Amino acid sequence: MIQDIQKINDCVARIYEILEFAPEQIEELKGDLAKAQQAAAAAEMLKNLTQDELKSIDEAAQKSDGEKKAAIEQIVKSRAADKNLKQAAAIAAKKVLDEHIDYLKTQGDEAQKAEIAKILAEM
Amino acid sequence: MSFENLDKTESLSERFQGVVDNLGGLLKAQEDKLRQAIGDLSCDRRTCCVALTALMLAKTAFTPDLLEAGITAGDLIGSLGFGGVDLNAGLDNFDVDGVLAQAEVVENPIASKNNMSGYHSMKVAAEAPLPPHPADQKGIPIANLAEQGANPHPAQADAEKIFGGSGSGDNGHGRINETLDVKNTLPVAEKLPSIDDSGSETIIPASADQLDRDVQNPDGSNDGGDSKNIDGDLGSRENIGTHHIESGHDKTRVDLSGAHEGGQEAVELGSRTGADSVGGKIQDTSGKAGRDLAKNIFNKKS
Repeated sequence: MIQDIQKINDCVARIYEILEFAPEQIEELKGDLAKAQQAAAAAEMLKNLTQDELKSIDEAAQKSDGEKKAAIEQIVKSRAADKNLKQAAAIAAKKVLDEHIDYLKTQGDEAQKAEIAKILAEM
Repeated sequence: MSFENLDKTESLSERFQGVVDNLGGLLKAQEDKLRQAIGDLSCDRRTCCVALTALMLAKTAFTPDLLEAGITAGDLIGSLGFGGVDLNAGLDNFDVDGVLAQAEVVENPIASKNNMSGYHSMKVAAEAPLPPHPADQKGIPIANLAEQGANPHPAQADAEKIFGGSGSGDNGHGRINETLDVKNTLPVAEKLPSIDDSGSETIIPASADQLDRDVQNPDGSNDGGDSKNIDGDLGSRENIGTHHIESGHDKTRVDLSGAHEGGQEAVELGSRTGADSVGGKIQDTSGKAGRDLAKNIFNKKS
């Protein structure tokens, strides 16, 4: 399941607003959430790199900076179109988001919790 | 501000901190996973390149969402201890060396030596055949060298030294270790009988160089088990003590470095005499003939 990350982030930001966080605090929290999500995605992608890709980076790194950069760019470009890898990364990031949302559900008073439930229903 | 609002502010502050802590815990857990993924690949330049590639992939997959959220891959790299780098500027500014320099990545010593990565150097080392044995001129399998009376392969000797094994050739069990023990454990001066001016005992101390040569030649010449060095070498200086003066079992008893001139000459003469007398074959490894002759010459010079 791939979800619209931008929409998810917007929903999370609205939850923060319901919890009455200040705008600068919301930006800080969004940044921290993004870090955790990106780490999860990066780890997933790291596990999915092939031996050939590892070898190409390794060999290129021993030749020159130019070749090294070219090898990395090539992998990045080729993998950018890899839907399976993107999906795996998105799922890993989604797990992080879900864990955070589970925590957010416990925050606020009853009225705020009801509002949060409505937002989560949209996601 | 009313007390009620003050309480609410404090409550919000605690709540915010709670959310921050929750996200911090999530980030820590994911970083641990990422470190684990990196660790599975070992830690060298290659790994860092791969890690950064993964981060670039992540950036590609989530751009611009994450970037709009204020996160950069450089932040993540920094949090992982790899040093900071701004990847927002795009691939053209992707400076792996800069990151690695900040990350203080420890090069694999093997890789540095061979100008290879750790992965490849270790692979090559594991697959590389043993170098040919110096004595293996006829293509004798290393495993059979001992049976052929030759020295063991250096690697084999090292292994036996470490694991306490022994060769199976003419010299019998424990040959290698015995040789090493002689060199490393027996105090030469303590074992050597001094030259007696009375001529009652003519034992020539061997030089360290001589000792080393003997020790490094564990071919059994000292115990008569190997005929390799007997013929033709009997009269040489190198084999004097081991074959003629002493019993042939303890090379450390022979040391030419401090030899009395007369005694040394006598020993050499005695050795040659003894060798010649038996047609180039050792028959009397006690060296009695040599000692007798040495006594005579020594006494004359005295």
